[in-house]
Amino acid sequence: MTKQNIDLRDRERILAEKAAKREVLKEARRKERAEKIKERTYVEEFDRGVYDIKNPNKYEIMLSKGLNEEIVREISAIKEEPDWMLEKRLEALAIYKQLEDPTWGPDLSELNMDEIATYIRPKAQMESNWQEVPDEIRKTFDLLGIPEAELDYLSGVGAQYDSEVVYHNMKDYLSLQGVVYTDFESAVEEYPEILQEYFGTCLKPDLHRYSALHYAVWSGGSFVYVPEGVEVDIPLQSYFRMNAPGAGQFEHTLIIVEKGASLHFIEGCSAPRYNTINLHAGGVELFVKEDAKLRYSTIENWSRNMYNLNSKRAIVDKNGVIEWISGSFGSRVSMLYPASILVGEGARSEFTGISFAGAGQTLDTGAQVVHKAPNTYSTVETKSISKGGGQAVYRSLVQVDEGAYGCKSNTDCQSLMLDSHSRGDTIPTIILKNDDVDFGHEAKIGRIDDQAIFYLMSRGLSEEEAKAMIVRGFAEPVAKELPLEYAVEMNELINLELKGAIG
Amino acid sequence: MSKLLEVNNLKVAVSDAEILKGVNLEIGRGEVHVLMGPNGAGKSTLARAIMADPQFEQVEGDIYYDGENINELSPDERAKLGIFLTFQNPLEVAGISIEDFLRTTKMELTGEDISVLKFKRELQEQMQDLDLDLTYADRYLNVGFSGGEKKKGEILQMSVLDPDLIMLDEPDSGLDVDAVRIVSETVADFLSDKNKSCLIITHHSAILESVKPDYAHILIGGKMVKQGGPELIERVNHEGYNWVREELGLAKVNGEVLR
Amino acid sequence: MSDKMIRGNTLPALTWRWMDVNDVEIKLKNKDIIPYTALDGVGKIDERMKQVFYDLDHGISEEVVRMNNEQCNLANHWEISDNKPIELKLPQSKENPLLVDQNQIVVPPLQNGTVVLYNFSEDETRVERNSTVLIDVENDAEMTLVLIQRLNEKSVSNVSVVARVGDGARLNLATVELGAGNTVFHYMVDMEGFGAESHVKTAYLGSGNDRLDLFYHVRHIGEECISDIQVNGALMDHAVKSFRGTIDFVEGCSGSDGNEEEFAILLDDTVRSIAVPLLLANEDDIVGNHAASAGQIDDEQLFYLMSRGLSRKESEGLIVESRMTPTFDQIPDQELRDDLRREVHQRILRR
Repeated sequence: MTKQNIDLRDRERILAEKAAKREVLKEARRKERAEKIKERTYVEEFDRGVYDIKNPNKYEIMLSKGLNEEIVREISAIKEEPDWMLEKRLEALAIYKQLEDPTWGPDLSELNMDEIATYIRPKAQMESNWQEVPDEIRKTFDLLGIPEAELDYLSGVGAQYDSEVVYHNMKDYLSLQGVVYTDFESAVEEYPEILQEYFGTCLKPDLHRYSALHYAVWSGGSFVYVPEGVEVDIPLQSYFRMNAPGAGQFEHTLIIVEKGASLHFIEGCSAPRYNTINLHAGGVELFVKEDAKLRYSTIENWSRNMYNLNSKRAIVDKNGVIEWISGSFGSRVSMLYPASILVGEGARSEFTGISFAGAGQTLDTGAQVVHKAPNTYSTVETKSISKGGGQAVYRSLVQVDEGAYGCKSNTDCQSLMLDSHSRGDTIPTIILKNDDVDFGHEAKIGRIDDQAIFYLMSRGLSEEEAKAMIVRGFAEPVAKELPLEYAVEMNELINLELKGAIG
Repeated sequence: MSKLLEVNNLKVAVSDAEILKGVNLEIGRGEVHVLMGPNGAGKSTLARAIMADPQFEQVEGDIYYDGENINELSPDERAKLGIFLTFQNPLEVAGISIEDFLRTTKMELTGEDISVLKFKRELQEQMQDLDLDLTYADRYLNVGFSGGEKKKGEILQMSVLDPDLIMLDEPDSGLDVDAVRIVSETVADFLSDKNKSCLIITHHSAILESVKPDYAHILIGGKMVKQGGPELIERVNHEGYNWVREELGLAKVNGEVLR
Repeated sequence: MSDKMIRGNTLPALTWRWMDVNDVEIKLKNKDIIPYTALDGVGKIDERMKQVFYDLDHGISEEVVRMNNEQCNLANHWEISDNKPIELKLPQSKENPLLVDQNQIVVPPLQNGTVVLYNFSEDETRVERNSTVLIDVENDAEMTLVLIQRLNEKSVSNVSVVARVGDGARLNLATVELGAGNTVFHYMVDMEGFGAESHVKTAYLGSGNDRLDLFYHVRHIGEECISDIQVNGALMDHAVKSFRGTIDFVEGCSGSDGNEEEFAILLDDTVRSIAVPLLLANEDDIVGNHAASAGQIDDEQLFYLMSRGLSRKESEGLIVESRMTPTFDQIPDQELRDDLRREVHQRILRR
């Protein structure tokens, strides 16, 4: 815009002209948008709110409110744990009592910590009833084609017969190779030396309030040990491990992949997990030794009342590789930042993730990578989608320490917003403490390109189908890293989310 | 009389992978050499190694320029001796005009002060020879240049800096027909006027119409496998490299695309 | 007055506390009221405008604004017209160890103006500078603000720029940070108008024990707004830089396009580079992009220049200088521009 010395009269005239042109343009744009809004298929979301849990008094005697030492001791006693584990629980409890919720991020004020006390008692958990699970959840299972046998696990109740059998077969095959795969309680009993050496060393109770809580009341989870040089050729899936009571809320996963070994571990399932209490504070500790490789895939899909405050961390040794594949769906609030600590020279971390926030949801997820050794390498590729007022936040840290020379790190995060009510925020932090680093970070926020929709529609797809295809394409980097069944389920899940058909 | 450039048993690696496996090459004053070979043979690597490209490590061997061993010299020191390499994708340097850049580097090279006016005039002549618009000199170095403009820029730099050994890496690529002709003529004039030496990496460049090659070399798999006269170039153009491979007992390659 | 540590430049969206990037420590220590004698007169500002802008944004922090009010020793209120650049030289030295200035710039509709504020040290005395600049760019107007900071490495520079841009109007901001051991910069712009634009270019060079905090908060409020932040600089010795730029798409800013790019050249292994490039979006009909990269000078680039006969340090100097060119080009005074380029070049050569 170039302006010259302008005469007063001329000025007024020019201003008036410009303003008039602007009005015309504004009107035109408004009309364009109004038409688009009419055309958009806004599907009414179910008004979920918080699930009513009917008749909580059906369960065992209610303990006094608040999480206290008595409850922790009771948990430990029921599990018949050794003293050292009880010690750890009590230490964590002490830390928990001193920590506050974070000052940043999603609002956690409605999370009622007092209710936790009531529901973590193992007996209470076991008696929850399939009938209590809302219809919408059960309907989703149908839509996703999940077999009957798995429904029980997914709804947080009792044993599952088919899975039980499959699990045992898998166990036999693995033990031939020296691979250990058990539930966490059994691991405490059968492998005390290993557990004492590793438990709580990667993910520490004082990391934040919910890791402290986790360590005080953990229950269920998996322990996997892959000996040196063993390449486990089938992915291990966690839902076979869901027998322990209290599982699904505070499970602890500990995986050790020894030198030169490799493993693919899949956690979770794409059907919504319904829990009697609305908090999931799990903990995952991964130890990837020299030259080892671990791929940790998760699809988390919690019911819409859930607060999913998960902590996952991996320590990677020399030339080790950790691959995180992460899909976050559902929940009311999720806070999830898998962290890779690269301590050995040449270690690598690759993170691929997708999150989908629909109405009433806040998904605050991301990744953390700390390069502590030279010549380490990391990539982060994330996609977030927000719709119907949902809020998707990408939050991350990439740090390269002093002395960590020759590191390379690249981040690419994209946010797709499907309507104007949603929020997509990107909050990355990059801290570089030496100059011999090759670092790049790119982020994009936007909406689906109208031209792309037009193109697909011109090939015969409805607008809804076109959008779904584009969103699936957006999610493809994650989908292609998953075993086929999971990828298919994830795509189905995305379709359902788009249609607003999930509770 | 010693050769201008002598390369003895040069072994060059990048990240532990050996690319040049003991290359020998001699270029005398006033000679035009053509370097050919299939993709990935290491042709560009050789030129860059002679220029001391930091991404390559000289593992073994010696490079002599005008009788002096230059193994330890940095790129700017080699440039000052009179070696020049054209880049495929020359760096963009915003903030310095072509004219400023050329005058600065020329002053570096000669160690003398150069009058702005005098230089401007000479530069304009050279730009005209290359059919470059006069405003070209005011533009920032390579910023927003088309492929052709970048290439011509490299040749302009060559004219101004007046090196004795020029290495042209695929001088044709990315140029339209007119530009090719102009570049070829400029290079040909430059070489003949001052008895310069030249190493051209190509096998089919139109430049060979204007610049008559004296010798041809074929590099395959990091080794100089054949040396001879210009008739080698014709043969490669017609038959590709399989006949060479056969002679050496190497596996033949099907469907080789010669550009 | 307590000596409690003041913190400022708080991020609009907080993140993990332990990383200590949510805000920054303010090092203004001089609490005296001292006149500024390098210019004649103190000047006056429009109180109402001050209040209106204060309601928009508190600059670096309330505390710093309070100090700015209490210690103000220079005030300017400019109504731009006639396209004549306003250039102020603001030296500091033993005679003028403290500069606390309040500047207001109003650009009436269709006007076009440039204001250059050039702050520099005349001697080795530690000086402090606490400046505020409020800018109101009215409909269809265009304004360029150039801030050049060249205080010595003992000094502290705090600058707050708060702006508002109307329909079809455009604000260009060029900032050069070449001195001051402690630099805190704050830019907040509300692009309220339809088609409003904000274009920022920053160049910095950190050496010795310099600490720089470069904070930008660009809000897209009106429809079809366009914004762009380009930060280019180099760090050597033990310098620390943090770039915290936020592009904020407020609901209703349909058709807006926001970009931020930050490139840091790291010249010694003892430097520290921190970047928190935020993208906040509450509107889907937008395009937001940010790119951040940091590292040593590209080998290929170095090789190219060296192959033309320039020594390594000279080549580095040329590359760093060239990155800063888009910012330097905004400075109307050619001599000053050349002088700045020379300084950058020299500092790289000497390291």
